[in-house]
Amino acid sequence: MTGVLMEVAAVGHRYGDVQALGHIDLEVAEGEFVAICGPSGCGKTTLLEILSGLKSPTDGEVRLDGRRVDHPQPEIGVVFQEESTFPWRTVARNAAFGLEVLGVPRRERSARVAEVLRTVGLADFADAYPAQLSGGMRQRVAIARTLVTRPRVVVMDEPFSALDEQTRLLLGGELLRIVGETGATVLLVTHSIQEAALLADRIIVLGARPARVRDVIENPLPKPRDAGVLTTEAFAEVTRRVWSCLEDEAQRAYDAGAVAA
Amino acid sequence: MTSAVLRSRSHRVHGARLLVVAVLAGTYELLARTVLDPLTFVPLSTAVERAARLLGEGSYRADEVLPTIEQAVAAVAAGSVLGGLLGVVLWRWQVVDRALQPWLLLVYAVPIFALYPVFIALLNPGSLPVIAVATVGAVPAVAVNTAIGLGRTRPVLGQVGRSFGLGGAQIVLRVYLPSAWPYVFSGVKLAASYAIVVVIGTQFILSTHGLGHHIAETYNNFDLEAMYGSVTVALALATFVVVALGALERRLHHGAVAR
Repeated sequence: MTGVLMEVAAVGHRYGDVQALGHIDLEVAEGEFVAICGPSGCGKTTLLEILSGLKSPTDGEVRLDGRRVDHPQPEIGVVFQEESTFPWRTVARNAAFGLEVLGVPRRERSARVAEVLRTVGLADFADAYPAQLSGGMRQRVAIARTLVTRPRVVVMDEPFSALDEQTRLLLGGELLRIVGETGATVLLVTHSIQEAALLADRIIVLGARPARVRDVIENPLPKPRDAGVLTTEAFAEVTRRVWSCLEDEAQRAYDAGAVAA
Repeated sequence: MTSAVLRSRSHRVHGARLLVVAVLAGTYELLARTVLDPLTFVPLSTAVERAARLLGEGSYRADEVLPTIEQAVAAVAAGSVLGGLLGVVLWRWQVVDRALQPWLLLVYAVPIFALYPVFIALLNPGSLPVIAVATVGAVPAVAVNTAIGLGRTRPVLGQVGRSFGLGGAQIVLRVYLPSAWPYVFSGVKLAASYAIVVVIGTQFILSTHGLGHHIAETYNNFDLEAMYGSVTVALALATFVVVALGALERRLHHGAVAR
Protein backbone atom coordinates (compact mmCIF):
# COMPACT_ATOMS: atom_id res chain seq x y z
CA MET A 1 0.00 0.00 0.00
CA THR A 2 1.41 3.37 -1.04
CA GLY A 3 0.89 6.65 0.87
CA VAL A 4 -2.46 7.60 2.40
CA LEU A 5 -4.45 9.83 0.03
CA MET A 6 -7.74 10.23 1.85
CA GLU A 7 -8.44 10.11 5.56
CA VAL A 8 -11.85 9.87 7.15
CA ALA A 9 -11.37 10.93 10.77
CA ALA A 10 -14.15 10.29 13.33
CA VAL A 11 -16.82 11.29 10.82
CA GLY A 12 -20.39 11.29 12.07
CA HIS A 13 -23.57 12.92 10.84
CA ARG A 14 -26.91 13.79 12.39
CA TYR A 15 -30.16 14.78 10.72
CA GLY A 16 -31.88 16.63 13.55
CA ASP A 17 -32.31 14.02 16.28
CA VAL A 18 -31.42 11.11 14.02
CA GLN A 19 -27.83 9.89 14.07
CA ALA A 20 -27.29 8.67 10.49
CA LEU A 21 -23.57 7.97 10.71
CA GLY A 22 -21.86 6.86 13.90
CA HIS A 23 -18.13 7.28 14.03
CA ILE A 24 -16.26 6.35 10.88
CA ASP A 25 -12.48 6.14 10.66
CA LEU A 26 -10.92 5.14 7.38
CA GLU A 27 -7.74 5.57 5.38
CA VAL A 28 -7.52 5.12 1.62
CA ALA A 29 -4.22 4.69 -0.19
CA GLU A 30 -3.42 6.20 -3.57
CA GLY A 31 -4.54 3.87 -6.40
CA GLU A 32 -6.61 1.71 -4.05
CA PHE A 33 -10.11 0.44 -4.91
CA VAL A 34 -12.19 0.42 -1.74
CA ALA A 35 -15.77 -0.84 -1.57
CA ILE A 36 -18.02 0.37 1.24
CA CYS A 37 -20.73 -2.19 1.82
CA GLY A 38 -23.59 -1.97 4.29
CA PRO A 39 -27.22 -2.85 4.92
CA SER A 40 -30.06 -0.77 3.51
CA GLY A 41 -30.55 2.60 5.20
CA CYS A 42 -27.24 2.47 7.09
CA GLY A 43 -26.13 5.90 5.81
CA LYS A 44 -24.01 4.84 2.83
CA THR A 45 -25.26 7.69 0.64
CA THR A 46 -24.72 10.23 3.44
CA LEU A 47 -21.15 8.95 3.77
CA LEU A 48 -20.66 9.28 0.00
CA GLU A 49 -21.91 12.87 0.05
CA ILE A 50 -19.48 13.66 2.87
CA LEU A 51 -16.56 11.95 1.10
CA SER A 52 -17.24 13.91 -2.09
CA GLY A 53 -17.60 17.26 -0.28
CA LEU A 54 -21.29 17.60 -1.19
CA LYS A 55 -22.19 17.57 2.51
CA SER A 56 -20.25 18.66 5.61
CA PRO A 57 -20.27 16.14 8.45
CA THR A 58 -21.66 17.26 11.79
CA ASP A 59 -18.70 15.49 13.48
CA GLY A 60 -15.14 14.78 12.39
CA GLU A 61 -13.61 15.57 9.01
CA VAL A 62 -12.44 14.15 5.70
CA ARG A 63 -8.95 15.06 4.50
CA LEU A 64 -7.46 14.71 1.04
CA ASP A 65 -3.68 14.89 1.09
CA GLY A 66 -4.00 16.42 4.54
CA ARG A 67 -6.39 19.18 3.36
CA ARG A 68 -9.90 19.28 4.76
CA VAL A 69 -12.65 18.37 2.27
CA ASP A 70 -15.58 20.68 2.99
CA HIS A 71 -16.83 21.43 -0.53
CA PRO A 72 -16.85 19.71 -3.94
CA GLN A 73 -13.51 19.96 -5.69
CA PRO A 74 -11.99 18.86 -9.02
CA GLU A 75 -9.72 16.35 -7.29
CA ILE A 76 -12.78 14.32 -6.22
CA GLY A 77 -15.06 12.98 -8.96
CA VAL A 78 -18.51 11.56 -8.30
CA VAL A 79 -20.52 8.95 -10.22
CA PHE A 80 -24.12 8.91 -9.06
CA GLN A 81 -26.48 6.00 -8.54
CA GLU A 82 -29.26 7.58 -10.59
CA GLU A 83 -28.95 8.00 -14.34
CA SER A 84 -27.27 11.39 -14.55
CA THR A 85 -26.27 12.10 -18.14
CA PHE A 86 -27.44 15.43 -19.56
CA PRO A 87 -30.11 14.51 -22.15
CA TRP A 88 -29.61 17.71 -24.16
CA ARG A 89 -25.89 17.05 -24.71
CA THR A 90 -24.30 14.51 -27.01
CA VAL A 91 -22.04 11.83 -25.53
CA ALA A 92 -18.94 13.90 -26.35
CA ARG A 93 -20.43 17.09 -24.88
CA ASN A 94 -21.55 15.21 -21.77
CA ALA A 95 -17.99 13.97 -21.33
CA ALA A 96 -16.67 17.50 -21.87
CA PHE A 97 -18.88 19.10 -19.18
CA GLY A 98 -16.33 19.04 -16.34
CA LEU A 99 -13.58 20.34 -18.61
CA GLU A 100 -15.82 23.23 -19.72
CA VAL A 101 -16.48 24.07 -16.05
CA LEU A 102 -12.75 24.01 -15.35
CA GLY A 103 -12.08 26.29 -18.35
CA VAL A 104 -9.89 23.81 -20.25
CA PRO A 105 -9.17 25.17 -23.78
CA ARG A 106 -11.28 23.71 -26.61
CA ARG A 107 -8.46 21.87 -28.38
CA GLU A 108 -7.25 20.14 -25.22
CA ARG A 109 -10.85 19.41 -24.30
CA SER A 110 -11.49 17.62 -27.60
CA ALA A 111 -8.34 15.52 -27.26
CA ARG A 112 -9.13 14.49 -23.69
CA VAL A 113 -12.77 13.71 -24.51
CA ALA A 114 -11.69 11.54 -27.47
CA GLU A 115 -9.23 9.72 -25.21
CA VAL A 116 -11.73 9.06 -22.39
CA LEU A 117 -14.43 7.90 -24.86
CA ARG A 118 -11.93 5.39 -26.26
CA THR A 119 -11.20 4.23 -22.72
CA VAL A 120 -14.88 3.60 -21.91
CA GLY A 121 -15.55 2.11 -25.36
CA LEU A 122 -17.85 4.86 -26.62
CA ALA A 123 -15.66 6.43 -29.32
CA ASP A 124 -18.18 5.44 -32.01
CA PHE A 125 -21.05 7.09 -30.11
CA ALA A 126 -19.52 10.54 -29.59
CA ASP A 127 -22.34 12.28 -31.50
CA ALA A 128 -25.19 10.20 -30.08
CA TYR A 129 -27.59 11.54 -27.46
CA PRO A 130 -28.18 9.65 -24.18
CA ALA A 131 -31.73 8.83 -25.30
CA GLN A 132 -30.21 6.77 -28.11
CA LEU A 133 -28.08 4.67 -25.72
CA SER A 134 -28.72 1.71 -23.41
CA GLY A 135 -28.67 2.14 -19.62
CA GLY A 136 -25.20 0.60 -19.38
CA MET A 137 -23.82 2.90 -22.06
CA ARG A 138 -25.31 5.94 -20.33
CA GLN A 139 -23.59 4.96 -17.10
CA ARG A 140 -20.33 4.66 -19.03
CA VAL A 141 -20.92 8.22 -20.28
CA ALA A 142 -21.31 9.35 -16.66
CA ILE A 143 -18.09 7.53 -15.74
CA ALA A 144 -16.29 9.15 -18.70
CA ARG A 145 -17.59 12.60 -17.63
CA THR A 146 -16.07 12.02 -14.18
CA LEU A 147 -12.77 10.49 -15.31
CA VAL A 148 -12.01 13.08 -18.00
CA THR A 149 -11.13 15.71 -15.39
CA ARG A 150 -8.57 13.23 -13.98
CA PRO A 151 -9.73 13.35 -10.36
CA ARG A 152 -7.43 11.77 -7.82
CA VAL A 153 -10.36 10.08 -6.09
CA VAL A 154 -13.51 8.78 -7.77
CA VAL A 155 -16.47 8.27 -5.43
CA MET A 156 -19.18 6.01 -6.84
CA ASP A 157 -22.64 5.60 -5.36
CA GLU A 158 -23.98 2.20 -6.47
CA PRO A 159 -23.35 3.20 -10.08
CA PHE A 160 -24.71 -0.05 -11.54
CA SER A 161 -27.76 -0.53 -9.32
CA ALA A 162 -30.25 0.56 -12.01
CA LEU A 163 -28.87 -2.02 -14.47
CA ASP A 164 -29.70 -5.69 -14.94
CA GLU A 165 -27.46 -8.31 -13.32
CA GLN A 166 -25.60 -9.33 -16.49
CA THR A 167 -24.85 -5.73 -17.51
CA ARG A 168 -23.71 -4.97 -13.95
CA LEU A 169 -21.17 -7.77 -14.00
CA LEU A 170 -19.87 -6.89 -17.46
CA LEU A 171 -19.70 -3.19 -16.58
CA GLY A 172 -17.94 -4.09 -13.32
CA GLY A 173 -15.23 -5.83 -15.36
CA GLU A 174 -15.06 -2.79 -17.65
CA LEU A 175 -14.71 -0.49 -14.63
CA LEU A 176 -11.75 -2.52 -13.34
CA ARG A 177 -10.04 -2.19 -16.72
CA ILE A 178 -10.75 1.56 -16.91
CA VAL A 179 -9.55 2.19 -13.36
CA GLY A 180 -6.47 0.08 -14.09
CA GLU A 181 -5.69 2.27 -17.12
CA THR A 182 -6.27 5.58 -15.34
CA GLY A 183 -4.75 4.64 -11.99
CA ALA A 184 -7.59 6.41 -10.15
CA THR A 185 -8.34 5.80 -6.50
CA VAL A 186 -11.91 4.57 -6.17
CA LEU A 187 -14.38 4.55 -3.30
CA LEU A 188 -17.38 2.47 -4.31
CA VAL A 189 -20.49 2.58 -2.14
CA THR A 190 -22.60 -0.51 -2.77
CA HIS A 191 -25.06 -2.89 -1.17
CA SER A 192 -23.99 -5.68 -3.54
CA ILE A 193 -21.61 -8.18 -1.94
CA GLN A 194 -20.74 -9.65 -5.36
CA GLU A 195 -19.91 -6.24 -6.77
CA ALA A 196 -17.70 -5.44 -3.79
CA ALA A 197 -15.88 -8.78 -4.02
CA LEU A 198 -15.39 -8.50 -7.77
CA LEU A 199 -14.07 -4.95 -7.81
CA ALA A 200 -12.42 -3.97 -4.54
CA ASP A 201 -8.95 -4.36 -3.07
CA ARG A 202 -10.48 -3.79 0.34
CA ILE A 203 -14.08 -4.07 1.53
CA ILE A 204 -15.30 -1.89 4.40
CA VAL A 205 -18.39 -3.43 5.99
CA LEU A 206 -20.65 -0.93 7.76
CA GLY A 207 -23.11 -1.78 10.51
CA ALA A 208 -26.78 -0.83 10.65
CA ARG A 209 -27.71 2.81 11.40
CA PRO A 210 -25.98 4.69 12.86
CA ALA A 211 -23.30 3.23 10.61
CA ARG A 212 -19.91 2.32 12.05
CA VAL A 213 -17.12 0.30 10.50
CA ARG A 214 -18.04 -3.28 11.38
CA ASP A 215 -15.12 -4.96 9.65
CA VAL A 216 -12.42 -4.42 7.03
CA ILE A 217 -11.78 -7.30 4.64
CA GLU A 218 -8.68 -7.43 2.45
CA ASN A 219 -9.61 -8.99 -0.88
CA PRO A 220 -7.02 -11.68 -1.73
CA LEU A 221 -8.29 -12.23 -5.31
CA PRO A 222 -5.47 -11.52 -7.77
CA LYS A 223 -5.69 -8.66 -10.28
CA PRO A 224 -6.43 -8.13 -13.11
CA ARG A 225 -9.89 -9.61 -12.58
CA ASP A 226 -12.95 -9.92 -14.73
CA ALA A 227 -16.41 -11.50 -14.42
CA GLY A 228 -14.76 -14.93 -14.90
CA VAL A 229 -13.62 -14.80 -11.26
CA LEU A 230 -17.25 -15.13 -10.12
CA THR A 231 -17.24 -18.91 -10.42
CA THR A 232 -14.04 -19.49 -8.41
CA GLU A 233 -13.85 -20.92 -4.90
CA ALA A 234 -11.75 -17.92 -3.76
CA PHE A 235 -14.51 -15.52 -4.84
CA ALA A 236 -17.11 -17.57 -2.94
CA GLU A 237 -14.89 -17.39 0.15
CA VAL A 238 -14.67 -13.56 -0.05
CA THR A 239 -18.44 -13.16 -0.45
CA ARG A 240 -19.01 -15.62 2.43
CA ARG A 241 -16.75 -13.53 4.70
CA VAL A 242 -18.51 -10.31 3.73
CA TRP A 243 -21.94 -11.84 4.25
CA SER A 244 -20.97 -13.31 7.64
CA CYS A 245 -20.07 -9.75 8.77
CA LEU A 246 -23.12 -8.25 7.17
CA GLU A 247 -25.82 -10.81 8.03
CA ASP A 248 -26.50 -9.68 11.62
CA GLU A 249 -26.39 -6.01 10.60
CA ALA A 250 -28.74 -6.58 7.65
CA GLN A 251 -31.13 -8.44 9.98
CA ARG A 252 -30.99 -5.54 12.49
CA ALA A 253 -31.68 -3.03 9.71
CA TYR A 254 -34.52 -5.23 8.39
CA ASP A 255 -36.05 -5.62 11.87
CA ALA A 256 -35.79 -1.86 12.49
CA GLY A 257 -37.47 -1.22 9.14
CA ALA A 258 -40.23 -3.74 9.89
CA VAL A 259 -40.87 -2.12 13.29
CA ALA A 260 -40.90 1.37 11.75
CA ALA A 261 -43.30 0.20 9.05
CA MET B 1 -39.11 1.62 -36.47
CA THR B 2 -36.74 2.67 -39.27
CA SER B 3 -36.09 6.32 -40.10
CA ALA B 4 -37.43 5.70 -43.65
CA VAL B 5 -40.78 4.58 -42.22
CA LEU B 6 -40.82 7.60 -39.86
CA ARG B 7 -40.02 9.96 -42.75
CA SER B 8 -42.75 8.46 -44.90
CA ARG B 9 -45.28 8.81 -42.05
CA SER B 10 -44.18 12.42 -41.47
CA HIS B 11 -44.65 13.21 -45.18
CA ARG B 12 -48.17 11.74 -45.09
CA VAL B 13 -49.05 13.88 -42.03
CA HIS B 14 -47.73 17.04 -43.71
CA GLY B 15 -49.66 16.12 -46.89
CA ALA B 16 -52.88 15.68 -44.89
CA ARG B 17 -52.41 19.08 -43.21
CA LEU B 18 -51.87 20.83 -46.54
CA LEU B 19 -54.90 19.03 -47.96
CA VAL B 20 -57.12 20.34 -45.11
CA VAL B 21 -55.92 23.92 -45.80
CA ALA B 22 -56.41 23.48 -49.56
CA VAL B 23 -59.97 22.09 -49.10
CA LEU B 24 -60.94 24.96 -46.75
CA ALA B 25 -59.40 27.58 -49.07
CA GLY B 26 -61.06 26.05 -52.14
CA THR B 27 -64.45 25.85 -50.41
CA TYR B 28 -64.23 29.49 -49.33
CA GLU B 29 -63.14 30.57 -52.83
CA LEU B 30 -66.10 28.73 -54.37
CA LEU B 31 -68.62 30.10 -51.84
CA ALA B 32 -67.28 33.67 -52.15
CA ARG B 33 -67.65 33.50 -55.95
CA THR B 34 -71.14 31.96 -55.88
CA VAL B 35 -73.44 32.31 -52.86
CA LEU B 36 -71.76 34.68 -50.35
CA ASP B 37 -72.47 38.43 -50.31
CA PRO B 38 -69.75 40.04 -52.54
CA LEU B 39 -69.96 43.27 -50.48
CA THR B 40 -68.85 41.36 -47.38
CA PHE B 41 -66.75 38.43 -48.61
CA VAL B 42 -63.82 38.84 -51.02
CA PRO B 43 -62.62 35.66 -52.78
CA LEU B 44 -59.32 34.28 -51.48
CA SER B 45 -57.58 34.61 -54.84
CA THR B 46 -58.49 38.32 -54.90
CA ALA B 47 -57.30 38.78 -51.33
CA VAL B 48 -53.97 37.05 -52.12
CA GLU B 49 -53.54 39.14 -55.25
CA ARG B 50 -54.26 42.33 -53.26
CA ALA B 51 -51.87 41.21 -50.51
CA ALA B 52 -49.12 40.76 -53.09
CA ARG B 53 -49.79 44.24 -54.48
CA LEU B 54 -49.79 45.77 -51.00
CA LEU B 55 -46.50 44.08 -50.17
CA GLY B 56 -45.08 45.53 -53.36
CA GLU B 57 -45.73 49.06 -52.03
CA GLY B 58 -42.81 50.48 -50.06
CA SER B 59 -45.05 52.68 -47.87
CA TYR B 60 -47.19 49.63 -46.87
CA ARG B 61 -44.12 47.61 -45.94
CA ALA B 62 -42.61 50.53 -43.98
CA ASP B 63 -45.78 51.80 -42.25
CA GLU B 64 -47.83 48.66 -41.68
CA VAL B 65 -45.76 45.44 -41.93
CA LEU B 66 -42.45 46.53 -40.44
CA PRO B 67 -43.91 48.16 -37.28
CA THR B 68 -45.98 45.00 -36.68
CA ILE B 69 -42.92 42.76 -36.97
CA GLU B 70 -40.79 45.10 -34.83
CA GLN B 71 -43.42 45.37 -32.12
CA ALA B 72 -44.08 41.61 -32.06
CA VAL B 73 -40.34 40.79 -31.95
CA ALA B 74 -39.77 43.34 -29.17
CA ALA B 75 -42.71 41.95 -27.19
CA VAL B 76 -41.53 38.33 -27.58
CA ALA B 77 -37.98 39.31 -26.58
CA ALA B 78 -39.16 41.29 -23.53
CA GLY B 79 -41.76 38.63 -22.67
CA SER B 80 -39.16 35.86 -22.93
CA VAL B 81 -36.63 37.61 -20.69
CA LEU B 82 -39.20 38.72 -18.08
CA GLY B 83 -41.12 35.43 -18.33
CA GLY B 84 -37.90 33.42 -17.99
CA LEU B 85 -36.90 35.34 -14.86
CA LEU B 86 -40.40 35.05 -13.42
CA GLY B 87 -40.35 31.31 -14.22
CA VAL B 88 -37.15 30.91 -12.17
CA VAL B 89 -38.81 32.79 -9.28
CA LEU B 90 -41.97 30.60 -9.51
CA TRP B 91 -39.84 27.44 -9.52
CA ARG B 92 -37.55 28.56 -6.71
CA TRP B 93 -40.24 29.91 -4.36
CA GLN B 94 -43.33 27.71 -4.18
CA VAL B 95 -45.21 30.35 -2.19
CA VAL B 96 -44.86 32.86 -5.04
CA ASP B 97 -45.89 30.14 -7.51
CA ARG B 98 -49.06 29.33 -5.55
CA ALA B 99 -49.87 33.04 -5.13
CA LEU B 100 -49.33 34.04 -8.77
CA GLN B 101 -50.59 30.99 -10.73
CA PRO B 102 -54.28 32.07 -10.81
CA TRP B 103 -53.33 35.59 -11.94
CA LEU B 104 -51.01 34.30 -14.66
CA LEU B 105 -53.75 32.09 -16.06
CA LEU B 106 -56.20 35.00 -15.81
CA VAL B 107 -54.16 36.97 -18.38
CA TYR B 108 -55.52 34.64 -21.08
CA ALA B 109 -59.08 34.87 -19.81
CA VAL B 110 -59.38 38.68 -19.90
CA PRO B 111 -59.18 41.07 -22.89
CA ILE B 112 -55.76 42.54 -22.20
CA PHE B 113 -56.28 44.95 -25.14
CA ALA B 114 -58.29 46.88 -22.55
CA LEU B 115 -54.97 47.82 -20.91
CA TYR B 116 -53.88 49.69 -24.05
CA PRO B 117 -55.27 53.10 -23.02
CA VAL B 118 -53.61 52.71 -19.62
CA PHE B 119 -50.23 52.07 -21.26
CA ILE B 120 -50.79 55.01 -23.65
CA ALA B 121 -51.32 57.23 -20.60
CA LEU B 122 -48.15 55.84 -19.03
CA LEU B 123 -45.89 55.60 -22.10
CA ASN B 124 -47.39 58.12 -24.60
CA PRO B 125 -48.78 57.07 -28.01
CA GLY B 126 -46.47 55.11 -30.32
CA SER B 127 -44.92 51.67 -30.40
CA LEU B 128 -44.13 51.39 -26.69
CA PRO B 129 -47.71 50.92 -25.39
CA VAL B 130 -48.38 48.28 -28.08
CA ILE B 131 -45.20 46.43 -27.10
CA ALA B 132 -46.10 46.76 -23.41
CA VAL B 133 -49.57 45.20 -23.87
CA ALA B 134 -48.15 42.38 -26.03
CA THR B 135 -45.39 41.77 -23.46
CA VAL B 136 -48.05 41.36 -20.75
CA GLY B 137 -49.61 38.75 -23.05
CA ALA B 138 -46.28 36.99 -23.67
CA VAL B 139 -44.89 36.80 -20.12
CA PRO B 140 -47.24 34.16 -18.57
CA ALA B 141 -46.68 31.55 -21.31
CA VAL B 142 -42.90 31.74 -20.91
CA ALA B 143 -43.02 31.98 -17.09
CA VAL B 144 -45.35 29.02 -16.58
CA ASN B 145 -43.50 26.82 -19.06
CA THR B 146 -40.10 27.77 -17.63
CA ALA B 147 -41.28 26.91 -14.11
CA ILE B 148 -42.65 23.55 -15.32
CA GLY B 149 -39.41 22.73 -17.17
CA LEU B 150 -37.22 23.63 -14.19
CA GLY B 151 -39.47 21.63 -11.86
CA ARG B 152 -39.19 18.56 -14.07
CA THR B 153 -35.39 18.63 -14.07
CA ARG B 154 -34.16 15.66 -12.05
CA PRO B 155 -32.30 16.84 -8.91
CA VAL B 156 -29.41 14.47 -9.63
CA LEU B 157 -28.46 16.68 -12.61
CA GLY B 158 -28.06 19.61 -10.22
CA GLN B 159 -25.98 17.34 -7.97
CA VAL B 160 -23.70 16.63 -10.95
CA GLY B 161 -23.22 20.38 -11.36
CA ARG B 162 -22.44 20.73 -7.66
CA SER B 163 -19.97 17.84 -7.79
CA PHE B 164 -18.02 19.81 -10.42
CA GLY B 165 -17.90 22.79 -8.05
CA LEU B 166 -20.63 24.93 -9.63
CA GLY B 167 -22.47 27.44 -7.42
CA GLY B 168 -26.23 28.05 -7.36
CA ALA B 169 -26.51 30.55 -10.24
CA GLN B 170 -24.08 28.55 -12.40
CA ILE B 171 -26.08 25.37 -11.81
CA VAL B 172 -29.26 27.16 -12.93
CA LEU B 173 -27.52 28.48 -16.06
CA ARG B 174 -25.54 25.39 -17.04
CA VAL B 175 -27.86 22.60 -15.89
CA TYR B 176 -31.43 23.62 -15.04
CA LEU B 177 -32.08 26.04 -17.91
CA PRO B 178 -30.68 23.76 -20.65
CA SER B 179 -32.72 20.91 -19.15
CA ALA B 180 -35.85 23.08 -19.10
CA TRP B 181 -35.16 24.49 -22.58
CA PRO B 182 -37.77 22.36 -24.48
CA TYR B 183 -40.45 23.70 -22.12
CA VAL B 184 -39.07 27.26 -22.27
CA PHE B 185 -39.06 27.11 -26.06
CA SER B 186 -42.68 25.89 -26.13
CA GLY B 187 -43.48 28.89 -23.94
CA VAL B 188 -41.67 31.23 -26.36
CA LYS B 189 -43.63 29.69 -29.26
CA LEU B 190 -46.90 30.31 -27.45
CA ALA B 191 -45.72 33.80 -26.48
CA ALA B 192 -44.94 34.58 -30.14
CA SER B 193 -48.48 33.55 -31.16
CA TYR B 194 -50.04 35.63 -28.37
CA ALA B 195 -47.76 38.59 -29.14
CA ILE B 196 -48.79 38.67 -32.82
CA VAL B 197 -52.48 38.45 -31.89
CA VAL B 198 -52.16 41.15 -29.22
CA VAL B 199 -49.99 43.48 -31.35
CA ILE B 200 -52.38 43.36 -34.32
CA GLY B 201 -55.42 43.52 -32.04
CA THR B 202 -54.02 46.50 -30.14
CA GLN B 203 -53.16 48.31 -33.39
CA PHE B 204 -56.91 48.31 -34.14
CA ILE B 205 -57.37 50.84 -31.32
CA LEU B 206 -55.88 54.33 -31.57
CA SER B 207 -52.71 53.21 -33.37
CA THR B 208 -51.48 55.07 -36.47
CA HIS B 209 -49.34 52.27 -37.94
CA GLY B 210 -49.35 48.50 -38.29
CA LEU B 211 -51.39 45.75 -39.92
CA GLY B 212 -54.16 46.06 -37.31
CA HIS B 213 -54.42 49.77 -37.98
CA HIS B 214 -54.53 49.15 -41.76
CA ILE B 215 -57.24 46.50 -41.42
CA ALA B 216 -59.36 48.81 -39.24
CA GLU B 217 -58.80 51.82 -41.50
CA THR B 218 -59.68 49.98 -44.75
CA TYR B 219 -62.74 48.45 -43.05
CA ASN B 220 -63.95 51.90 -42.02
CA ASN B 221 -63.32 53.17 -45.60
CA PHE B 222 -65.25 50.21 -47.13
CA ASP B 223 -62.08 49.18 -49.02
CA LEU B 224 -62.80 45.47 -48.55
CA GLU B 225 -60.19 44.18 -51.00
CA ALA B 226 -57.41 46.06 -49.19
CA MET B 227 -58.80 44.91 -45.83
CA TYR B 228 -58.79 41.26 -46.94
CA GLY B 229 -55.32 41.80 -48.43
CA SER B 230 -54.02 42.95 -45.02
CA VAL B 231 -55.82 40.10 -43.25
CA THR B 232 -54.05 37.71 -45.65
CA VAL B 233 -50.68 39.33 -44.88
CA ALA B 234 -51.40 39.03 -41.14
CA LEU B 235 -52.35 35.34 -41.52
CA ALA B 236 -49.25 34.64 -43.63
CA LEU B 237 -47.02 36.38 -41.08
CA ALA B 238 -48.50 34.43 -38.14
CA THR B 239 -48.31 31.13 -40.05
CA PHE B 240 -44.70 31.79 -41.04
CA VAL B 241 -43.70 32.54 -37.43
CA VAL B 242 -45.42 29.41 -36.04
CA VAL B 243 -44.00 27.13 -38.77
CA ALA B 244 -40.49 28.63 -38.49
CA LEU B 245 -40.43 28.31 -34.69
CA GLY B 246 -41.74 24.74 -34.96
CA ALA B 247 -38.97 23.86 -37.42
CA LEU B 248 -36.38 25.52 -35.17
CA GLU B 249 -37.72 23.58 -32.19
CA ARG B 250 -37.42 20.26 -34.03
CA ARG B 251 -33.90 21.14 -35.13
CA LEU B 252 -32.79 22.19 -31.64
CA HIS B 253 -34.22 19.12 -29.91
CA HIS B 254 -33.14 16.67 -32.58
CA GLY B 255 -31.92 13.47 -30.95
CA ALA B 256 -32.53 14.55 -27.38
CA VAL B 257 -36.31 14.32 -27.39
CA ALA B 258 -36.86 10.76 -26.21
CA ARG B 259 -35.97 11.43 -22.58
